[in-house]
Amino acid sequence: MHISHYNLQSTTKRCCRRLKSWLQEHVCKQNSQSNSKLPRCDVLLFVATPTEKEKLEEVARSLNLQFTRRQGKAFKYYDLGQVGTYRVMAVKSEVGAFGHDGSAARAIAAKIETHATGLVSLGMAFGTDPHKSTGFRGQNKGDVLVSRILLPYDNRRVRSVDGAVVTDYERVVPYHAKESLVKALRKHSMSSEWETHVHFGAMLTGGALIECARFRDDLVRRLSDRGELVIGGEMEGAGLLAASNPRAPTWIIAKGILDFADEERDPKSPQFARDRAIACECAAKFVLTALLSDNPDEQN
Amino acid sequence: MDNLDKYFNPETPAATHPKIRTWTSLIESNPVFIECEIYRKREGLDFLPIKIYLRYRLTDDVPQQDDHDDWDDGLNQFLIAKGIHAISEENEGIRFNLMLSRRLQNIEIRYGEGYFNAVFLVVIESGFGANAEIASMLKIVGPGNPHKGTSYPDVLSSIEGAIKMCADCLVKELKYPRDAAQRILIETVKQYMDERFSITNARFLGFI
Repeated sequence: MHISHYNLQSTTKRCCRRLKSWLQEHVCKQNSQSNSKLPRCDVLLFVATPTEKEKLEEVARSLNLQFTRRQGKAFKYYDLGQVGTYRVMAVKSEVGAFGHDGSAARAIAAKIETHATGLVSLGMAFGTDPHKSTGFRGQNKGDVLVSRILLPYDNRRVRSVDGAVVTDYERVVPYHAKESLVKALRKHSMSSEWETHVHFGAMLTGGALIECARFRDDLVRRLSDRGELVIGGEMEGAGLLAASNPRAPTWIIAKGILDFADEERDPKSPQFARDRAIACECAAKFVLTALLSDNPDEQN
Repeated sequence: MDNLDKYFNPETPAATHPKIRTWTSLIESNPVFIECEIYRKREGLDFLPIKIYLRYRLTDDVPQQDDHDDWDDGLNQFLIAKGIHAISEENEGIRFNLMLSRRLQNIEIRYGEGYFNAVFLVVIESGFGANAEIASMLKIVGPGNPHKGTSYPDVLSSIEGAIKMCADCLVKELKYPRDAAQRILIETVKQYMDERFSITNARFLGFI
């Protein structure tokens, strides 16, 4: 790669030399990585938005983990290397489960390409208890929601009864998360740093962008009888179901609360951008520190 | 007044599956031919729901019949205890893969899948690495390189123990000779590794 050097003052010339050197190093590294075999990973992290990816990288580097870009045959991955006893990589899809680059298509192929045995969907979710009324400790923005069960609420029946629209959720069956991942995250959630900020339960997954408390509460009320209380919802989890046999699940969802899927949701507000960053950062930090601290020697 | 005698009576059958009573009387009628088939059909990148078929001929002069049910660990264990072979060594591999998966899952949950994967690969490399197909899979997946802390010997022996339980079933309950049992055990490990690390699927999608 050729960079033209202009007739600049000496400090600017030094900056250009440094930039050229960095670019040459980066391009060489990228070329050599794209030629080297993609390593197998144990856990593959999925993110869907630029903020989720940026925060994951930020948290990884703050924990002295690498975040090296690697080119696979199908996709671009981010190699976090050894995270405790786990070999971890990350991949980005588009928002939503379906569609050409959605989490379903990405999860199916990426799991196979990396030979991963565990999939973790990271990022942002909505909470269901802004008023702390459930009798549990209640939820705050930035708290991390972990799915023991996923409920794809789009799998519903919509009928007309006497002219009124009636929605029936009997077809929604619960999908159980991978036990080994639930255990690792559960153990870490009991540490003093996280014990009041992590909630385990059932999560809704579907294509709707919900900004209506009544719709949210209706879903919670009607789907909390599937084995666990509904603690939140998100949009990519259904894609991970596509990559996993329900009899032998390989996934888990761990996402930070961005909002409560109600009328107060305002994506244009500066506070929303701050909440988004916090939600993504909390989820990434929780999962990476959970993997780092999962010590097999403590099992005996 | 309690009436718990039946639970302590050794004569009381302990059937955990509704099919066991039917299949018990079938087996005890001494059919001239009886074997099972684990029907596990691949469809695309996954498998259809698994079924166990029991094929039998009561006497030489009647046609072969069969019965089937969904795969159930208890039902399979019952057939093993009765010494019922699968239709082929490859089919035994399917059967024992399902059994091994169940046994190894508890170890994975206890120690975490990262560490489980690492130690598992060490076990397979040392015990089965001489087999060309398994060696090729190990090359695709890469080495385990586990940290050898205080739990390493326990994880190692747990995984080896799960494999040994399969070997014991093959030899002691199903009465396979050592060479056939060895081939079935290798087939079992091949199928387990293939599924766990998505090797056939990676070939389908052209990644390897």
